[in-house]
Amino acid sequence: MTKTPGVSGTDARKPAPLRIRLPAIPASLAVIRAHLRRWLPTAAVNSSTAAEVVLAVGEAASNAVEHAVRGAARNVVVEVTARATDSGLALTVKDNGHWHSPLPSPQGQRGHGSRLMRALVDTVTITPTPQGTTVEMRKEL
Amino acid sequence: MTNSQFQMSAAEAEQPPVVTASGDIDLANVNEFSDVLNRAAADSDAITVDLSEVTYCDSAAVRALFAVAATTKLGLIVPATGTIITLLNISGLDRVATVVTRD
Repeated sequence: MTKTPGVSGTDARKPAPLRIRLPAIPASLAVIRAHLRRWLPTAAVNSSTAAEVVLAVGEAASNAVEHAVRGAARNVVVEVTARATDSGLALTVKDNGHWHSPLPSPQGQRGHGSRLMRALVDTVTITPTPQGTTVEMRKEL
Repeated sequence: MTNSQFQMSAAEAEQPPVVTASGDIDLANVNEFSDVLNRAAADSDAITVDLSEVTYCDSAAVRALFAVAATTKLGLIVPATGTIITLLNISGLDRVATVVTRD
């Protein structure tokens, strides 16, 4: 993506990117959604698309919290970013916990999370590393 | 928000008990949702769960609903539009529950 210096930051159609860093605990999820719900209309996202984005990001953040709860004793942080691109939205959900691969649960319902994200946004890239997991999503508008 | 977000009405006549949820359901309160589902299902072989006032739910709520559907006939009332329908489709919950949409 090419950026014109001095223009991208002042383009009225592109709000300042959103960046939220919170402890990876269940109570943070509502805070993340509240920030996103406020930010999305500033990026000219309509309410039905906003609901899809909130669910996709919420699902990824929920995964991060679950890894943290199940995983190591060290403090895990979840970071959510959202920014307007020329054609839509770029969203990331990053944690510094350990990704558990989406193994099937006894009832086979885990792993629906990433399928759900793929149904809600246009691209989903999940990058697990020993330092944590990054989920990058693109939503075309 | 402890006593109002998940409500249960007792079975009456031919109707199964109804659990009515509202607001957001996520990891922070899904155990409370599960508890109400289990209480409703304890004395009945069928329950109805009304999600038409739910403003957000994700896989956490789906897992809770799958768990109760394993032992109980599950009916769901969901908004006609929005992400809950997508959630039911992708998870396959719509294949184990009877889904009624409400405008």
